Amino acid sequence: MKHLSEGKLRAFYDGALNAAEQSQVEQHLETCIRCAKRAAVVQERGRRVRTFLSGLEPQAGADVVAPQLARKRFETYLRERKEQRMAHNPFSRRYRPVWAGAALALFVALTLTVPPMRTLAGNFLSLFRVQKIEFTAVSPEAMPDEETMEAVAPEIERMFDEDLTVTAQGERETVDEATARAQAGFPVRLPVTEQGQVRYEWTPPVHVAMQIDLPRVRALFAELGYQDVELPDTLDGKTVEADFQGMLTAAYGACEDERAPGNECMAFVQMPSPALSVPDDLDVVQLGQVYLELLGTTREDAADLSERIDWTTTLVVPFPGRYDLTHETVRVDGVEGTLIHPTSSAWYREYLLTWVKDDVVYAVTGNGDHAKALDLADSLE
Amino acid sequence: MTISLIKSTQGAAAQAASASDALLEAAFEEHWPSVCQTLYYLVGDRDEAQDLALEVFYRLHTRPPRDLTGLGGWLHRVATNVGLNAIRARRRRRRYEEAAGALKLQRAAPIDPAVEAERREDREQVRDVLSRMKPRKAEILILRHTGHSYAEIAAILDVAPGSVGTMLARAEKEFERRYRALEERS
Repeated sequence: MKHLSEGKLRAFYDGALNAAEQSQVEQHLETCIRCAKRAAVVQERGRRVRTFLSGLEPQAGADVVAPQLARKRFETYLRERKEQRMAHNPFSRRYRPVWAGAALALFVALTLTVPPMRTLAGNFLSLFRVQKIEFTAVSPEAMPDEETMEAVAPEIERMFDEDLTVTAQGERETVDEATARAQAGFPVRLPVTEQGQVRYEWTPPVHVAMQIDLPRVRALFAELGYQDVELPDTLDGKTVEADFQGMLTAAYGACEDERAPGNECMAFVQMPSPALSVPDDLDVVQLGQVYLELLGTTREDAADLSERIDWTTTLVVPFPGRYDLTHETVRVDGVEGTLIHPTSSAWYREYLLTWVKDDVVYAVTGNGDHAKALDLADSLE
Repeated sequence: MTISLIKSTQGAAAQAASASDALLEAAFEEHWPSVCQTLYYLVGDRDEAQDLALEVFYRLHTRPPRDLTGLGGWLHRVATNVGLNAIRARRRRRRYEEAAGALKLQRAAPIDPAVEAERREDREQVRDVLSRMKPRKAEILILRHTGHSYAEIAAILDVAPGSVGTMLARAEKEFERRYRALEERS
């Protein structure tokens, strides 16, 4: 018999194994010193934890009101809560920081992604493109606490103000299909099937450049509790640049008032994978870990994940981890994509489908039946 | 303490967007006391526990699970999450108060007998640790220590029964690690 895991031992002491397994473990413990030691540790730890938690057990005489009365109180509670209902929607204000994080991720995750696709002549810059998008569930509760974020927020704002230059070639505008095709610097793909009422919006190219102020970045990391992140001195003054070549949005259905009952809206977005240049002396894996931790992943999980992810080609995007929100890998447009949608028990209906093909990032978001998003994706020209 | 939450509520159709009155009625009748107890266990205050329990049933009302066979387990999960959130919020509040020096003053002049005060502090520390743990790990510890069997836990968390031991062992490890960290800090 192989050695016993802590989980097996835990189950053993909880009497949760079947008779055969129970006696197998017993026999093994008699002959294996190593497992016997581990068993003692597991048993002792379990005992200590039990002692701590037993302190929480309610004292005698802690009665609660009768269910019937509770049911009456509930009616009042219901009225009070009706107003606040929208606050529970994962796409609502409460989760805005997470979705803003998703947008910022486009920039930040890319800055963490290094390996040289093309080294610019006599330069320290590398260039790469997104080939894959990976979603990671984050728990808003597990993100750095408010106090820490409040402390660093002004510093981050200053950094964006002073070190970041955003150059947009115009404003977002409503266009017709012919103009959209002409303006886009990439082959526009639209569904060949009839989708009903449609509106096109063109977002012109944007160039983003950030100059690294090393002392400032180091101070920021220290404030967030990452003293051990190594940032080589050579980074100071170097520039991280991102080029977004414009984005076309096609909105189908009742998007103006999508929350009205029965109204459904679907937005189809396409955008060439942004090009990013970053100094090549960054420790990508380590920065990736910091990034994941900031999104609310535990230190151990972040370390694991960061090692596993190929930061060179993968854009990591956070989404709120909730028991009524699922994400799955789907076959779409001939490639692998990700579909995030509510479970059947959820009361909200927003979904997101995204994939990358031939260096173009595609996304379909909307409310209602997410099968429609898959249909649209499969009917592209 | 044993709280049975696994009893099933059979036969109710769950296609409606909100829980029907009959379902709600039955859920209150069957699960209200145990949901309150779980929350009482977590927050340690009877009135607060009952307020939070209303929130749990509110969630049942607004977005009931499709599968009602494990309604007790579902309610318990929601109760655990609501309870843990409440402790987290309390922890944040306390930090602000501490920052303002309010709590330090209180501590300087304890009114309660020393033993009782210490016990209360211990309980608060345990809650603190639970609220800092990964939610899923805290959840499984709470399930186990409110008297659920491995099979029940597996059903509630929708995991293989064989993995419950491993999950528990990891959760206990994390609990202890965080408890130690907290001790060292204070």
